[in-house]
Amino acid sequence: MFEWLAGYPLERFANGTVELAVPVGTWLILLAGLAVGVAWALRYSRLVEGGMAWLLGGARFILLALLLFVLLDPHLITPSRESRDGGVAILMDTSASMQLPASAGETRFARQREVVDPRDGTLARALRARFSLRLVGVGQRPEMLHGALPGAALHGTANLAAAIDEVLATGAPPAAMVFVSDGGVRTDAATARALLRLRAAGVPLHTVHVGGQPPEIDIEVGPVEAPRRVLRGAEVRIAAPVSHHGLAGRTVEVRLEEDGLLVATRTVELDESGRTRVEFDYRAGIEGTRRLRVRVAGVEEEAVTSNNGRVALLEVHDGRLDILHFEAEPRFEVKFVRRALGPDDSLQLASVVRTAENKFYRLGVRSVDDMADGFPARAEDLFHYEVLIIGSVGADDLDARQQLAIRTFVERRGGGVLFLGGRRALGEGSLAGTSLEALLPVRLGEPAPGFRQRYSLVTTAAGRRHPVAALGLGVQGTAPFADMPPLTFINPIRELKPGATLLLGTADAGGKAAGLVGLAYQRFGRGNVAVMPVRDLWRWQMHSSVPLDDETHERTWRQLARWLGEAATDRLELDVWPTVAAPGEMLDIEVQALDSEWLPLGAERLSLSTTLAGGAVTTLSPQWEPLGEGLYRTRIPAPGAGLLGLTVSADSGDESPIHATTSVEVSALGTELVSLASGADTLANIAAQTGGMAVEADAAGTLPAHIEPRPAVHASVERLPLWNAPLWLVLALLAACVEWLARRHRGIA
Amino acid sequence: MTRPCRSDHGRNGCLRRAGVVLLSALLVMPAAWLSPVLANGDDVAHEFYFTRGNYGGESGDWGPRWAIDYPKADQQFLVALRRLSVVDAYPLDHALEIERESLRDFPFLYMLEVGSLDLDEDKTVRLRDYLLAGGFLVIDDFWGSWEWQTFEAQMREVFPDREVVEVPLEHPVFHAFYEMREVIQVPNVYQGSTGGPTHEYDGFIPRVRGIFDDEGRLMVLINWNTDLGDGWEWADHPQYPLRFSTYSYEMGINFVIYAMSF
Repeated sequence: MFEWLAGYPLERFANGTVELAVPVGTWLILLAGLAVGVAWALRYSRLVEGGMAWLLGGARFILLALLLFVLLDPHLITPSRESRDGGVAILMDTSASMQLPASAGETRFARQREVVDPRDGTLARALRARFSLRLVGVGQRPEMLHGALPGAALHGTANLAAAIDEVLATGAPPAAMVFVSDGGVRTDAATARALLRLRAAGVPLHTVHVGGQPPEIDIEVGPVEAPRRVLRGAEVRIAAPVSHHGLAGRTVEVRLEEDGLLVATRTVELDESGRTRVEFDYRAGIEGTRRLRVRVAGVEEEAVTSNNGRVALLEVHDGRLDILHFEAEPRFEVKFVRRALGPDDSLQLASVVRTAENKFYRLGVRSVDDMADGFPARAEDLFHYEVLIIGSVGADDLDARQQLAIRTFVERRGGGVLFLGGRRALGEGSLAGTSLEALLPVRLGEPAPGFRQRYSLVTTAAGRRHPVAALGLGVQGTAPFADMPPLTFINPIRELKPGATLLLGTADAGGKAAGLVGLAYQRFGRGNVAVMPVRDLWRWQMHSSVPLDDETHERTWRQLARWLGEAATDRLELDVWPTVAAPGEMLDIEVQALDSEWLPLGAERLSLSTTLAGGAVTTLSPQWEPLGEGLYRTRIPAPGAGLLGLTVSADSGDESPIHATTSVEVSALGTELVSLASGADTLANIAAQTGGMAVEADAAGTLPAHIEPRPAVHASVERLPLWNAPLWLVLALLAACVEWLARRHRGIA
Repeated sequence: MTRPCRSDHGRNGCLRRAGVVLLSALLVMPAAWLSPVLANGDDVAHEFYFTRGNYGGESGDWGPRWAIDYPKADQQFLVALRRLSVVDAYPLDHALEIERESLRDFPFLYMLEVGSLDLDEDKTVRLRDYLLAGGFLVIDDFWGSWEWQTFEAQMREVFPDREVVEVPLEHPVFHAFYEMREVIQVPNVYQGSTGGPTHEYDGFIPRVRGIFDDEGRLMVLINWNTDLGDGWEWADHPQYPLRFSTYSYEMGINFVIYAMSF
């Protein structure tokens, strides 16, 4: 009965609260005013008095109060937990690459429809028997399709991350998601984060590949691997995968072009595997945005040549890395590091060497008084450096404040630190148990004061693509590290910490692995910490077996400094993805903004502007989404065409604004239509990250058998309308009846 | 290095002095004639070795010229270096033939008595490569114009395209550890102890000269018309003036710190 009158069960009222359109105080005032009005009206009429007046007045008051209550839009606010079937979300790739052929006479899009069509698609039909379905279009922006498949207007890039977030945000988490695509999908950091969220929510993402077979004769250049920003003068490795079909045994020329000019060529023999990786050594010589292109000369039989080249943008900036090298005793390493880095005017080295108990020899410092008392004790005094080299320095040589300064330098400022070997260094220098030990990517064993062996450095598998360790393979004119003179190890380190990477190992005179760490690093806070427990890298310069014109020693030090320095955090950093976009395609922009103490700046201090190819500058006012720690994100559509410059400025209040710039190539071609190759591997990787399965289109109908229902308890707050409850009508009728009967009794009806 | 005594010091004094010299020679010469003490190139335990270059050449009355003052001067210097600085120095003398491959393990080299230096082609090339690779050579204890000409001609063989120039007092080598404000002439022990003239032959003015590389770094530091080695060797001689030994030690430590830093 109560539920019929009130509209909802009693338990809902017990757990909820009633809310009106006005605050409670206002409601009471209105009631009081109503009561006064009714009383005055009765008194004025003089028709009734005494008990009858009270009866009539009360009935009228109740009637009017009920009317007022209903007019104030009452709601019952109550928590709700509801079991729902999350169903299955089908994510349908609606990006430009779906226009490409899947097989003879059929586009990928058409093949996809055969799978996802709500009426008769193989997958949709099999799923509908057990699950409710949600169909989402995955293009630049996600689109809920509500059963109506898109037409042929396919454009842009498949933004899988946005589609995943959209599904998770609307309704209960699904039992599974199924992504039907050709594999031409953005695989950036945002996508990786979205897949992590799926995994954390326990929602597998299955994939269905509709790429079909590539052309019989085709050669394709994959995404160019290049750093985004480098210092002028940096020597970097530019690489690109080259895949082919039907061209095994053929020799082709692969070219690296910079702003349209040929820089380097490689002659490559295409083998049976269908894939090869081409690498170029490139020196960043000119400041500004450099448009690098890796291109293969077309093969005559190719039907499509648009995939024969790929572009990458490289920002070359004319900055300088400041490096501080500290030693607690004079060593020849100081001399040879200065010799290696000195000629490079983009590297500014300060050396501080303790020569006696309280005496320091300082070279390349900023002023006469700079570091006169040795290593700084305040972290802020280190912040203008990008790299610290800590040599033969032990716990006795750095007090607690100095150790904390180094830690803060890495953690907050994001600087890079390299720890070298030496008799006062690492475990032998009693760093175990200090705050510096936490920074190290290695575990310090028991001190080994008598240990002294010579080993060669060898590049590990993880180091093959690293700018420093790759030198060890004999690239860029350097000798292979294994051929260089062996180096002295007096700090035996064998164990890495979890998350650390071993770039260089060690080998004895016979080439057998020695098991000691040669060069390892890990990320710590915002920065990187590396350990190279070698005592005398200078032997690569001095040894009689090394020709005078050999540059291995110099290049190794420069690459070490650049790698650690360029990874150091800038106060203002700007990243955009993708770097090659179609007009109108959404650009994901991330900015990190820090003040002079490397503490987060507020978004209100940021401004963003774009510069089109013609020079027109537009200042934008985007909504910045805070991601924490001074990191912000926003999205804007790519305007115009050509090279688009993006500039973010930050006003930290204490000095002139700082700026960061980057570029995007806006091209009608974008990146979607470039690749003809199958993206099956990409889809398999995506599925694997969430525990899903990857199948071909022909086997899409078998997926539902592998999807378990997932009743989801959906917790929410419900706002239930009360104005339409029968109770108010009943009360109103009762009040009206009481008044009418009373008036009839008194003869005044 | 001691020179024959002069007749004006009296016959007894000359005899006494000759006896001291003879006794010293008897102690030194066997060591000098034996193979020099070498550090094990495969077991370099210290950061710094005071390496005395054995360049061969003629022997005099006091043994091979390269070994004059050896090993006491070297050892005395190392005592002071280890006490006054934190350099991890091998505490003993370390002599090495300059044609040895292992010379490249020791970026600091000391040679003296180079007034009749005569290097063959192999040694010339090795010395050149050693210096261009990053080695640092200190030359000491040679006097007068005749010896200079011989030495300079030899260095022209090593570096045909590089000049020997004066090293100014502003140069970092004079300020690496101690602040040197002047260049003084350090006499041999005999002349220093007797209060006589400090020069030998026509070497009246002490000079510090050098040879620089293409980057402006000092490769060869030449102490001409002075004898730093005696300043170290005879620092414990009661008659040898302290100021000469002090200066010698200061210069020597500066050389080491500079050689390990530039």
